[in-house]
Amino acid sequence: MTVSWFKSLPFNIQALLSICFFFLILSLLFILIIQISQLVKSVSTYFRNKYIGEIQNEVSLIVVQSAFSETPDASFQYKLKKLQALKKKSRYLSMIIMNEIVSMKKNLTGESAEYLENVYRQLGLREISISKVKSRNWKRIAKGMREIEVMQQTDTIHHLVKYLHSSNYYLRREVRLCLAGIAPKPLFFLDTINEFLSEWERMLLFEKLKQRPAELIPDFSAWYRHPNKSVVSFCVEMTVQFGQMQNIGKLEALLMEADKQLICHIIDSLRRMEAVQSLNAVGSILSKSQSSKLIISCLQFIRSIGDNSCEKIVTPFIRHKNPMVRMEAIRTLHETGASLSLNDRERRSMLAHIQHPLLS
Amino acid sequence: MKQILVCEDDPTLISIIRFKLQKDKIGEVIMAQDGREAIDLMKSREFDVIISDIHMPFHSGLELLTYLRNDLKKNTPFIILTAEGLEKTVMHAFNLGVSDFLTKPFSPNELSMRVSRLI
Amino acid sequence: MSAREIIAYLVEGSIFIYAISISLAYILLAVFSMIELRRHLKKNFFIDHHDLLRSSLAPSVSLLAPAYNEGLTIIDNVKSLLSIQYNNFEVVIINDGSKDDTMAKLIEAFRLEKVPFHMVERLKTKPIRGIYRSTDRAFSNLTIVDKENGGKSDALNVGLNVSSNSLVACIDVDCIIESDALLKMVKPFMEDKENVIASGGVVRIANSCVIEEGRLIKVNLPTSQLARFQVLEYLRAFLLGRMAWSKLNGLLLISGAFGMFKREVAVVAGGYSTNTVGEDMELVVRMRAYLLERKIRFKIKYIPDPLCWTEAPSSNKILSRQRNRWARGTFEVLKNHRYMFFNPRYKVMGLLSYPFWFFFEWMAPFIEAIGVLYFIFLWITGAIWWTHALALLGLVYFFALFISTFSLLAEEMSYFKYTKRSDLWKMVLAAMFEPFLYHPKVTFWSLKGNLDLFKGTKSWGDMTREGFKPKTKGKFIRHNDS
Repeated sequence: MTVSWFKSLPFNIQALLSICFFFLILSLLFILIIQISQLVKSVSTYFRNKYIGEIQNEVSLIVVQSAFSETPDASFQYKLKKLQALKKKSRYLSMIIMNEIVSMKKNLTGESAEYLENVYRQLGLREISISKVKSRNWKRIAKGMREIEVMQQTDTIHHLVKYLHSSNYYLRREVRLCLAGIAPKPLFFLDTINEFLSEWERMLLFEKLKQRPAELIPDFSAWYRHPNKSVVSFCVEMTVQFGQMQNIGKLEALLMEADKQLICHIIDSLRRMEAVQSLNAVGSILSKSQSSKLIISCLQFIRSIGDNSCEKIVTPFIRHKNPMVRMEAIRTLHETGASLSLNDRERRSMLAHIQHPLLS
Repeated sequence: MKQILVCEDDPTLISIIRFKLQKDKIGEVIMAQDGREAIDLMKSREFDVIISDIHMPFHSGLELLTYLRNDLKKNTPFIILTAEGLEKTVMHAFNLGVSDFLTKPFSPNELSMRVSRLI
Repeated sequence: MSAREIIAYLVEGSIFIYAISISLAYILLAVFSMIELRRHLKKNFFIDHHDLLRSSLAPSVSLLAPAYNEGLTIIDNVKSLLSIQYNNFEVVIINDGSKDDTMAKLIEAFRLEKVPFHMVERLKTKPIRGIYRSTDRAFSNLTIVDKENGGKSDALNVGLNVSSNSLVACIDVDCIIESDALLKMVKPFMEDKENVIASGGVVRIANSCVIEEGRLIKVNLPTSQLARFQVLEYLRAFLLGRMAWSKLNGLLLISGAFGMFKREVAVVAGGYSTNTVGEDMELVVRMRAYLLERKIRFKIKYIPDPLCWTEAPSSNKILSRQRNRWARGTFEVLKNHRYMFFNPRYKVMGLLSYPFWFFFEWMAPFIEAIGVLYFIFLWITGAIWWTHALALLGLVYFFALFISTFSLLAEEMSYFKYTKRSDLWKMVLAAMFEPFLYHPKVTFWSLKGNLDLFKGTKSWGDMTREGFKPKTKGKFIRHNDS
């Protein structure tokens, strides 16, 4: 009856009602999807909550009790068996166990960390990570890489290297971070990298390098003349962070060839390394520079390194058109013990600011 | 038995620290999962040592330290255990009166030894 | 054809074309946003923003928060800002000539002392009465500026003058900022330092949520029907609209409640305008125009993660003032930047964003009003073909329902903050009744806002805050509590 009523309507009304119906069906479909999604999430949460406490306890006990135990094997094997039994119950539990172990490993060092690596291998989780790296889904590959890196599985590097040339930017970034964390030569991929290294990636690479043994940290001057400017910038920063004082001369030489932005960065780096020997080079740049940003970098260097012998080259800048430059110049003169004439109201205000303990 | 307050919001670490300190018979561990819980416990009980992360809900570890030293006026040994090991943070913490500063990743053995040294 | 028939064809035809185009635009934006949202979630699946927390390479940020008559909640708000998870930031509170005890409370709670701060006045503002720092080392990154009243824009401009960092985050002091908000907002600047000039976050509605000491404890769906309608509205706007515009690099609006900018770009573009009530949108549009005119490449990034929670108006009176202000703000911005309209010099902004805002945001209430009046006219003259009319109304209604349920789906597939089973049904009910109970009101207030603008109204109106009421038994910890 409904159908015949519908057919009795004019065509345009039929069209309108059909579209109404279409939107209604879509709306109901969306609501259904949301319901299903909520159900799946609550089941997962229930499942996870049921076992997470037990898993955390078992792994913690292994980590804590196996160290210094009289008979480590007995208790270790017993707890391992419990974990294996849990792992076999379902893939989801296996995933929770993996996540817990990896998460714990990130926070631990020393013997405890080694025990966790042992657990990871004995539970067969290493094979799971490797199979993830070999899969097609980029999220799975990246997850596998992370697990390998956190668990320091250095003998699996050959599975990862091919992703350095992946078409997926996020995979390329992940593999670089992973290799920085486990490769014997942490930054070997810098030799051939031609894409821009973002500040974010540089930060993450630095965090990875910090955790490597000191003897594996490369000499960053190897990349000072890299065609990729972001690599040069990264290596300059790493030179400072790892205190490679022997490269101060090379950094100074780089000052002559670099662009303005890199020059500022190099001067800041030399300042942080307290490169007294670079005072003349920086002074020379200061006297020729027109850029406010560069002038400020030079003044900060002089303030940090110099003494009142620099008064002559700094004083002209207290009359610079840029107020930030003027402030920096006054700060430099004040902190290097130079004399300051206080006739100017602005200078007095700047000096009061500089001298106040809550503002320094 | 010595009373140890551990302020840490990461449940993964809670069990490790608790098991380790209790297994090594350092003392009984009381947990606080956020800054507010920690403050309530610090006000109501005496502790022999406090271990705290810096970044936690409600109050940071440094706020707890300031509260302990300035408001409660106690010299209870206070250890910061945090992932954030920036030089200025370390110096700030020592200025505020921290007893020891450990960065993550950390060794439970080392933590246990440092705690026992302070008690 | 008679004159009446011609008018009928013109009016009906225009409204029909308008309806089709706005519907297509919404569908395209919604689909595009959803794709981008999924992509964003995938990209960020592996990102641990806390890596930034422990890094010495994290850029320094200044948080600017104007305050006016916030005595009720200022201490909790400032403390929660100070406890945001980041290792390199300063908090600058600008007291915009409050008439209550905001300043007195701040001085006492944070042990403030006036300091001889030398401020470079790159943006002209109302006079500063004093700048304060805390004598307590625990608050060494807090700066309070006391100034004469000049409005939110003026206060933010003072913040831009006072701040020393290259990145500034402008926030509403009474908004609840998530603890990892700064980490997430800074990331786009680190991923593309050269080009990214601003990042904006999502504002979520905090009504009925459990808030204690300025921190969000638990998310609840608002109990007030009016607030629920606004939740739906915000979900549509933030999840199904802005994501797409961000991808097209045509985002015109970064919410004034929480946005981050490269300080230098904001300053050279002239800072916030004190001549408009839509200062947040106006600044973004002006910054874009400034850079486009100089052919400087840039990007504005949008973070769909819920980073900021705010109290939505829960009474018609306050809501009407808000919508009135938004309508006036929108028109002021469109008017001030009308040179962009279909101007290819302004690329996506001129060719897409601006026309979209003009036709589908600003003009929509007018078209609706004309439609309603025309309908009434036809009704009176007995010229309505009811079957057709009801079918059309039904289409409009089910389309609205479709977009609303799509936004609920987007929320479920991304951040699912409303986790109770009953929440879904409450939101579906809100979606079903919104076209009747809510939409006509906001349309009317938008029209009134435009009318007030033509009459010369410039104020914000009194946006009375109730303050977040604590829902559980937690104590308010004051610094000197013992």
